[in-house]
Amino acid sequence: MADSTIGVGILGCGPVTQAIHIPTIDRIRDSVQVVNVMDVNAQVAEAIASRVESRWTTSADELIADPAVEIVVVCSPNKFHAAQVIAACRAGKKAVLCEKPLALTEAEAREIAQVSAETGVPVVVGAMHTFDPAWLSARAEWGDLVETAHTIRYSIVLTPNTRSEDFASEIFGRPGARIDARSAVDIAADVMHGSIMGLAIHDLPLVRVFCPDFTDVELLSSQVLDPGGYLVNLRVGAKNVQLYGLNNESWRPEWRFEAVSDDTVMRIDFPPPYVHAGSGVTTFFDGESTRSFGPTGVNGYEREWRYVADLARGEAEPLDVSYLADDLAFAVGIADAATANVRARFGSEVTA
Amino acid sequence: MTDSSTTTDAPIAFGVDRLTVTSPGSGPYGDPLLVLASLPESLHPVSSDADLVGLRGTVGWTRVAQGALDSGARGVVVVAPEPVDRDALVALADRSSAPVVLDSPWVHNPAVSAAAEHFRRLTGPSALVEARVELPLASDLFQAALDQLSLLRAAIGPVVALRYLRLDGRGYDALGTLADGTTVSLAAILTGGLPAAATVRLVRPTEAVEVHLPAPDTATPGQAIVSGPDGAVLQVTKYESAHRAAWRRVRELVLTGGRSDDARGFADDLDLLSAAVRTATP
Ligand SMILES: NC(=O)c1ccc[n+]([C@@H]2O[C@H](COP(=O)([O-])OP(=O)(O)OC[C@H]3O[C@@H](n4cnc5c(N)ncnc54)[C@H](O)[C@@H]3O)[C@@H](O)[C@H]2O)c1
Repeated sequence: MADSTIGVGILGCGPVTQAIHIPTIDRIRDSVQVVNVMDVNAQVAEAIASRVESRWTTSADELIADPAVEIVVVCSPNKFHAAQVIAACRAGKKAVLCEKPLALTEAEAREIAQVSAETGVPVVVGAMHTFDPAWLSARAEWGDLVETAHTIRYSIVLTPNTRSEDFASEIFGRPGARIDARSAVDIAADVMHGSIMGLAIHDLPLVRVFCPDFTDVELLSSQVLDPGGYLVNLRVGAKNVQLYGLNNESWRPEWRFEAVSDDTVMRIDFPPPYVHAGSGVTTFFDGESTRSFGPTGVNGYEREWRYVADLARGEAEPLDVSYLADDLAFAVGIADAATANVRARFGSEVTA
Repeated sequence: MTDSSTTTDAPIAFGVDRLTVTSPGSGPYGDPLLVLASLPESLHPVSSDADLVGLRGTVGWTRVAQGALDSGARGVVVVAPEPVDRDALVALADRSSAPVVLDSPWVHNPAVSAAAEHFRRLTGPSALVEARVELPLASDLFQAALDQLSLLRAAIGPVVALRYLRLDGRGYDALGTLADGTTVSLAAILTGGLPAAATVRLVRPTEAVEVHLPAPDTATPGQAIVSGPDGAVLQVTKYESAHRAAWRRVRELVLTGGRSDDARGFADDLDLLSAAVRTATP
C-alpha cells in the first residue's frame, strides 16, 4: 500500500459493494484503498471491514467525517442516495461515487447538482456502461448515427442477480425476500417503477444520448412481465424507442443496446452486471461489412473506478452534474409514465 | 423406399414418386422454378399438365391457383403470397381436393419446425413472445406484418388480437395475443444495415426459445436455440432454404393425401391485420 493511495469510504455494504466495488478497488489497489466502511447492520459492516482490513462504523456521519476518507461511495438503498451524496459534498471530499440511481426525484438530483457546483466536489454516477470501453469505442466510431438513427432498442434478459453475485464474490448477509401484502395492482406498479429505476436506468443515459429531444416523450405502451420485468414502447422526439428487461432462469443472458438508421445498425453487447468479465463489444453493420470493437479485459466498473481515482487526484475533468440530473429526470419521467399506464390499464387486454 | 410418409428428412430414392411441375409462364404469376435444380429426383419440370403448379403470389393469385386446381393440379405452391380478396381465399381453402402451400418468406425455414414444439410447449400467460423483422428500406409494411403473422402461426400459433402502437415509414411496433393469452410484441425495422432477417423469441421465467431466420432466398441456415435451467441447446442446423422446404412439403402432402390449412390461416391473418391497420394512429 503506497502512501499515495487515496482513501475510500463506503456507505452501504450490500451485495453491490461486496461483488462489484471491492473486487474492482482491489484491481486498482495501487491508487485507491478502502479505509472505512459503513452499514446500518453492524455485522455486515464488521464482516466487510475484516475483508478489506479497514475501520467500520454504523454511522454515515462518522464515515463522512473521517479525514482519511477522500472518496465516498454511496452504495446504500436508493432512498438514502441524495442525502448521503450531499453530505459527502458538504464535507469537501475529493470525489463522490454514487450507485445508480443518483436520486429518487428530479428535485433531489437538481439539489445534488447545485451542491456539487457550490462545493466543487465532483459527483459520478455508477452507470458502468457509460464507462465501458465498448461504449467509448461506439462514441468514437458512430459518426452521425445520433442524428440519423430512427430506432433505439435496449433489451436485457438476465439471470437472477444472486447467481451473478455468487460468481463475483461470497455474499455476507444477503437481504431476505420480503413478504408481500400489497394488492396485485400495487405490486405491478411497483415492479414497473422499480424495474425502470433499478434495471433500465443503467442504459437510459445511453438511450438519451440518441434522443436529442429527450423532453418530448410519449409513452406508447408499458407492461409488466412475469416474474419481474418490463416492456415499454416510447416515442422520444422523432425516435422509436423500446425498453425491455426481464430476469429469467435460463443461461442466455443478453444486455444489448441497438441504434438503427437507414444504412447502419450499431449493436453493443454488454456482459451481465456484478461479474468481472471484461468489456462489452460494439458492432457496426452497414449492409456490406461488419466492424467490431472489443472485447477488452477492462470492464465498465474498472474504468469507472480509474476515472474516480483520477478525479480525486485532480487529474480528470469532472462530469457535468446537471447533465447527470437530466439523465435522472429522463428516467423518472419514463418510470412515472410507464407506472401510471400500468395502473390505468391494469387487467385490460394488451390489445384493447 | 416405399413409405412416403417418412420422407421428410430421409434421402430420396432414385426416380421414386417423382412429381412433375410447371409454372404459368413468364407473366406476373410465373415462377422460374429455380428450386427444381435442388430437388432433381423429387420434382421434374414440364411445360403443361403437371402434378404441381408453382406461381408467384402477385395480387390476384387466388384466381390462378383456382385455375390450376380446375385443370387437375394435385398441389399448388404460391411463392411470396400477397394480400388478396378474402372470399377468394376462403373458397380456395374450402377446396379439399389438393393442398395449396403458401410459401410465405419465413415459414418454411427448417429452424421454424425445429423450434415449434418448444414454442408450443412453453406459451402461456407468463411468457412473452417477441417477433422482429429487419427489412430493406421502403419495404411494404402491410406485407411485412402479414409475413410475420404467418411466421408466428407456423412457429407458435395464430395471433388472435392485434394493436399497432406505431406504424410509420421506419417500421412498426405492435402488441398482440395468442389464443392462450400469451402476449406477443411485433416489430419491423427498416434498414439497409442488415440483410433481411426475422427473429422470434419466447421468454418465460425459467426458459427461453429463440429462432433466427435469414432471408429465404439462400440456404443460409436458421438457428433455433432452446434454453432453460440446465443450459442451452442449439437445435439441428439445416442448410436448406425455406423455399426448398416448402416444395418438399407440398410434395409430401400430395403423396400422403395430406391437406394444407395455409389459405385459411392466411385469410384469418389478413382479417386481423386489416382491422388493426384501420385503427392504427397515423
Ligand atoms: N452498478 C451496478 O451494476 C448495480 C447493480 C445492482 C444494484 N446497484 C445499486 O447499488 C446500490 C446497492 O445495491 P445492493 O443490492 O447492494 O443494495 P441492498 O439494499 O441489498 O444493500 C444495501 C446495504 O445498505 C445497507 N443500508 C441500509 N440502510 C442504509 C443506510 N441508511 N446507509 C447505509 N447503508 C444502509 C443495508 O443494510 C445493506 O447492507 C443500490 O443503489 C442499487 O441500485 C448497482
